Amino acid sequence: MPGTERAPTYFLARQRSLVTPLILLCVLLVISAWHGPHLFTSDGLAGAVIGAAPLVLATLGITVIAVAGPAGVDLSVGPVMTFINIVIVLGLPLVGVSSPVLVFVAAIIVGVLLQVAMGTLIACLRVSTVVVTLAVYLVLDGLNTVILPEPGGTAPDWLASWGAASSILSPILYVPVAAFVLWTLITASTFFRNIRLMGANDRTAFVSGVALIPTRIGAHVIAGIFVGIASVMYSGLIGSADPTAGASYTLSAVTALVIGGASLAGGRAKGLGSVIGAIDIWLISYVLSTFNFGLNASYWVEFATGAVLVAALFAGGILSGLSPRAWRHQGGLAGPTP
Amino acid sequence: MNAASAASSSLGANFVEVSSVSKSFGETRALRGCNFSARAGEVHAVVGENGSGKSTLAKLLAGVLYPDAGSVRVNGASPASPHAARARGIAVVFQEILIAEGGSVLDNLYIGDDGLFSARRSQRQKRAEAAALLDRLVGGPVALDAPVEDLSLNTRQWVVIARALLGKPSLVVFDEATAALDHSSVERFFEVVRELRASGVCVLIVTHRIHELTAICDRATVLSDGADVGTLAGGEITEARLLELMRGEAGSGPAGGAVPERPAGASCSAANAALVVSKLRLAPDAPPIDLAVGQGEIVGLAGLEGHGQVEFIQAVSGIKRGVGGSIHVRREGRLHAIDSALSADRANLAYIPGDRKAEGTFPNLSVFENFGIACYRRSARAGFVDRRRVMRMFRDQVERLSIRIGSAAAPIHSLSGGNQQKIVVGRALAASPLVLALNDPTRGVDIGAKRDLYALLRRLAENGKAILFLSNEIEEFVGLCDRVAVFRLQSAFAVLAGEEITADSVLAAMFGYAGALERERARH
Repeated sequence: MPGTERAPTYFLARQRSLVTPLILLCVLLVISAWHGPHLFTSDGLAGAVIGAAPLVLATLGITVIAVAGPAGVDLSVGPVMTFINIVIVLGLPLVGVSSPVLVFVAAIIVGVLLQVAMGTLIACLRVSTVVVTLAVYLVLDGLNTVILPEPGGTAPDWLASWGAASSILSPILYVPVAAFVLWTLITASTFFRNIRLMGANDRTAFVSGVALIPTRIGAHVIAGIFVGIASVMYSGLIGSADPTAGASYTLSAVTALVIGGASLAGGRAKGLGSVIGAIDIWLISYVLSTFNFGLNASYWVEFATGAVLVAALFAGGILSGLSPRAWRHQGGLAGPTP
Repeated sequence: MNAASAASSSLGANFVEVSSVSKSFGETRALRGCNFSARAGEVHAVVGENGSGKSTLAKLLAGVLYPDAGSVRVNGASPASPHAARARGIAVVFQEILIAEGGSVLDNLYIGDDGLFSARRSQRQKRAEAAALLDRLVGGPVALDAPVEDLSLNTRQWVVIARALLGKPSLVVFDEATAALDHSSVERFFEVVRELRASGVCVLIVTHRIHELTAICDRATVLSDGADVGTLAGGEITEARLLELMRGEAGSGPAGGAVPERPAGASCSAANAALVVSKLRLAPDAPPIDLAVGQGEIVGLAGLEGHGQVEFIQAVSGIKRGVGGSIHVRREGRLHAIDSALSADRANLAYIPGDRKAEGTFPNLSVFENFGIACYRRSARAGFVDRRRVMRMFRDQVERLSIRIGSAAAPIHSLSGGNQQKIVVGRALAASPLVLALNDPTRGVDIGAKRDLYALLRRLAENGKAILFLSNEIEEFVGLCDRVAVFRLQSAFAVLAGEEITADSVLAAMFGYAGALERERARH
């Protein structure tokens, strides 16, 4: 029957947004091979996975919010991860919870609850995602420092040992892989398709019978799951609780999201793109750490990340053929409104 | 007047029952006490002029809108939300082609079909069903994985129609569904409608195309000004009868009182032409348009929605480009070509949009800012804003147009629709333009403000301005305009002048019915 076979051309066309992050990944890997070959040892790879996993998972979390659109930028992710980090390190031992399964469950529950609270505000009051998540960023960032003025505590032993792994074949790799498998399953579901279509055009989705409020809140539930897992990985990475260090994940994750090719207008974002984008961000700081910038290293990382972001957007624009004409076609012009 | 529908309801149970429904949007009353009924297994048309409430009726049936008063019942229950309507087998194809760009064709076909967590059909089943249906509708295979934005307008329209049909509906509403279909597609569309009728589905067709009615409809209900004015059945459905019903209200409608006095009778000659449009094509296959507007002349632009009059006025104003041809403003013996909004401004042509929210105003800014936005640059001193000078221009226009404003610093939305429109007009007049292009300026404006606007246009014309006036209310042309260009199928179908301009002749020309026009011409 005509039209029933999957046309490979459209499959390739849909992967076009991956081109920019992949090129960037290759460039960064080549520089690493030349200047920091330690990365390609088992120990180096383990360090890379430990370092990149929290960002990769956090970026996957906010990718769902970006898909649900419009202008779905989740700014809260950094302080939320910090909050869950404090809960894992200081809160759970108080109630005697320390087994791996229960820690994951608790982290995911806290992540989902926070995201559902935000999603409900966004969906029911129709406030923009940026405003709500910015408010939560500020509230939690303050609250975290109130609860824990100084870094302290120690992560459960099993989690701390994950963070110290020196072999690539350790739980630190299995968890992100399992999370990505979960991601693949979720994105194949009918529910995720509704999220995507809502992000692409919520009016069409509404008149076609998609229930917008549960769909939007559901997108936040998915985000909460991934942010929860990201927080466990983050706790393993730092091995303790830190009230401020996590906040920077907000900007890194949003940058990774954009480099990964997500459309902030909604409807278009790929998990694989976000993963590669997050790896790119981590690699930028790795590559720069192999140069000797001394005390200024962190500033140079920010500088380079920003420059790469601009370059990636520019390259992405050229690759997708976004000529001024296409831009005008997309909406600058006022047509007759029915 | 509803004798026909009353008689028919005794023939069988009504599947759709709309009784004395009213619906308002702000000051605009889209439906007032509208009654309508349709049976299962019939094709029922809903006809009427622009703004007669047809699309509102379709949205009520779809559960997108909820009536202010009265009741809408489909198969005994009222559609409370699009979701509920869909579950009850109501499928509506809306006038706008609603697709989710970025999704594939398949996604767009089944949007809203899946439950929250489970699909009602397997992916394979969906692909097979969708491929078979689209193949039949479009007349050739359509790639299901293609992004919808790659499709032609014709195919997009079919995708939207197919979305409605895939749900196995018991009621299908086609709101101008054939507007974007090409000629060969329309025949296939008729076939689909006949099949639906044969299988006992209730089909409602909202349309402007009389040919469609006479071809496939069992009954037709005419709406005028938000109320039903009559239902025709079978052989009664003729162009003449439909026009008669539509214009029955037109003469005595509420807008009737607002018609201005007869114009002085300006005319356009080669000598005084201020705006010259020659061989302008709005679409590659549309006939070219030639139109000249003289100084002191008001030329009306009429047409059914989507027949090119809006595109024409936007092309003249440099906002949109035509396919070919040229547009010039002649000022002091020199020709100024218009091909962009900037060149229109330089040529002394002012565009006054009617859709204040979309094009006319900056809703977040104050009354004064809204006025001054176009004046700052012109009145600037060495690149700095001369606020006092702009304020003087503002006071001047407020006085001349007798705009009622509270404070100049108040947000624009604190004004009534009519006064907002006056600010927009005043902003254009502050540049002392030679040609004015008004795109439906009286939409959502009360009668008093309309009357003020007519008087103002007349005064401006007497002062030597050339005016293009697009409106959706036919009665407005009568008495106000020196000539009326009636658009049909992306071209000027007829140009009426002087005494020829009557509500009847304009309406007839809008429907491509030249007979009335010929008779009118023969009488003079």
